[in-house]
Amino acid sequence: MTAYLSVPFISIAAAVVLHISARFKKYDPVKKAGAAVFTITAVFLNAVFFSFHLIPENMLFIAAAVSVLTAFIITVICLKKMSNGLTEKLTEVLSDEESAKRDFHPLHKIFEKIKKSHGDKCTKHRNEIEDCFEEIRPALNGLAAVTEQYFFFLRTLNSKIGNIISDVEIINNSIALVSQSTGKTYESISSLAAATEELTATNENISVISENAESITKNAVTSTDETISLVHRLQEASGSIERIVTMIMDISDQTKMLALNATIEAARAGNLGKGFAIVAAEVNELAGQTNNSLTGINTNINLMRTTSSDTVEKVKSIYSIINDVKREISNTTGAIFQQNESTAVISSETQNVAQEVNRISEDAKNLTRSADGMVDSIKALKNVGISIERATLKSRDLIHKIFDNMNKLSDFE
Amino acid sequence: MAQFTALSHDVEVNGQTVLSIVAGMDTFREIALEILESKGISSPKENDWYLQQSWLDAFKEIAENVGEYTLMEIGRQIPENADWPPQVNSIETALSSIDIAYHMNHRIQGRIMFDPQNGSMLEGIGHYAFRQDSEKRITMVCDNPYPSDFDKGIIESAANKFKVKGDRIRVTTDSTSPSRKKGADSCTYIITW
Repeated sequence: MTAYLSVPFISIAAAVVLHISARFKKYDPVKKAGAAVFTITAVFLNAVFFSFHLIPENMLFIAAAVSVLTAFIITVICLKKMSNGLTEKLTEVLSDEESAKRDFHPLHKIFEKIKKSHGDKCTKHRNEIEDCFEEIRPALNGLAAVTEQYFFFLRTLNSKIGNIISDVEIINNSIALVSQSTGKTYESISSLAAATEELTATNENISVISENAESITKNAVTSTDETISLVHRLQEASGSIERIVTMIMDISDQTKMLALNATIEAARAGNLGKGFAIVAAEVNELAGQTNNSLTGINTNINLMRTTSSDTVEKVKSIYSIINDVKREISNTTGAIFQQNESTAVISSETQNVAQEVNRISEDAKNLTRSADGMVDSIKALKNVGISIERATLKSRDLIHKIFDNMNKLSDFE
Repeated sequence: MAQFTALSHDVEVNGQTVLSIVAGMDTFREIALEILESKGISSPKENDWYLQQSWLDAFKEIAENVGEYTLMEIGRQIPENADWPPQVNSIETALSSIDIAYHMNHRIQGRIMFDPQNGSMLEGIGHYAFRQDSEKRITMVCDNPYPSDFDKGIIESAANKFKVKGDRIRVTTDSTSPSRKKGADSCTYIITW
């Protein structure tokens, strides 16, 4: 029973609070409506509860329910009426644009407050605000311009970063190709190094052969020298033989003369000289035969002399050829020596090049890894750029909005 | 007059005016110089002359790729860096002399388009027409190949340079008149203070 009786008292208290609060709010019809509703409800409930003593105790719950329902219906009706009033008021206010501006413009509210608190100083404050706007406006314009340029710069930068990414990717591909090529070059140079080593060995063999050939030609020269000397001696000997043959021929001629004399003397002696004549004839014949033989010998000696002279000429020619050969072999040996040195240098350099190429190949692999990393970093950088680009665009829009609002505030009378 | 298109190919603009692009994009002056160079103006010098079409091409690039505030900022640099004669000492005289200054900074076939000796003005680059509507209201009709925001910057900066302390300059585009932004040949600005 006490609980039911507390309801009307709470309604009365609420109505009083709302009335008081609505008194300080000039444009708060909702609170006014609420206060009215609570007042009516409180009165109605009081009437219901004061008549409770007429109701049997077992019917109290039903009576309370009926009273609450009735209060609810009354509240709805009252709110509807008040809201209609509020709508009319709003329509009236909004139909006049200037008054709407005046009543709802934030600057108006600020000025109203300043007016209330500072009275005549209001105009001065407004002028100060306007002066601030005058300062802010070009600054904002400059800021907007810089933001635009920053946006353009970022877009250019992003485009350039895009180009860099493409270039780095191309470089990356090129490095990969270089890496492959250096690998192949390393293999080729390794083969070349092996070939030059073989060439060095072959050259050394040729050098030995060449030295042997030189030695042989030296021996050949010596032999030809000796041959020439022997032929000369043979010529000298044939000269001696010729002189002897001449001497023998003289003797033979004298012998013939003697045989002739002997024959004459034998003839003079008659029969006694017949035997002697035969001997003389035999001696004469022997002398003739000797002469014939000596002529043959002389012919042969001349032939031998001619032949030996020819032989000397031929041997001299051989000697000259051998000397030429010797000189050529000597030159060849020198060339082979130089070639050996060059081949040794080539071999050493080829090995160095092979090592360098191998190092380049390793560097190229490292470069590829770095370029991959660079592409990732640049892509991340590009994303950052795009984000800043978006932020800049948004900043520009915000500055634009600030401009618009400043202009609205400045234009407000 | 169509925006970004010179009426004659032999119209030139002086280096001091060209350099306003660099001044207007001071923070990014290298980019400004790059834009000028891409349009055929390399390392502009104050006392040299450059093809107006090249300069307009640079403006087109800025209008299409940078933005309106930058154009306005470039316009602001023109009165800031100009040598004003002593007789220009008010908003009215400043705005009315823009057209003369404009012609003095351009030449055609080697002839400067305004002769201060006899006051003769050559035609071919359009005008900045001045009309005083009331004591504190001026209308400027900009009929030239330059971008709308650039002209607004010139007007705003010139008016602000010669305003009396306490004056608050408002430059608004006359929305009832044609606009180069919408393909017209001219733009109209209303200046109040």
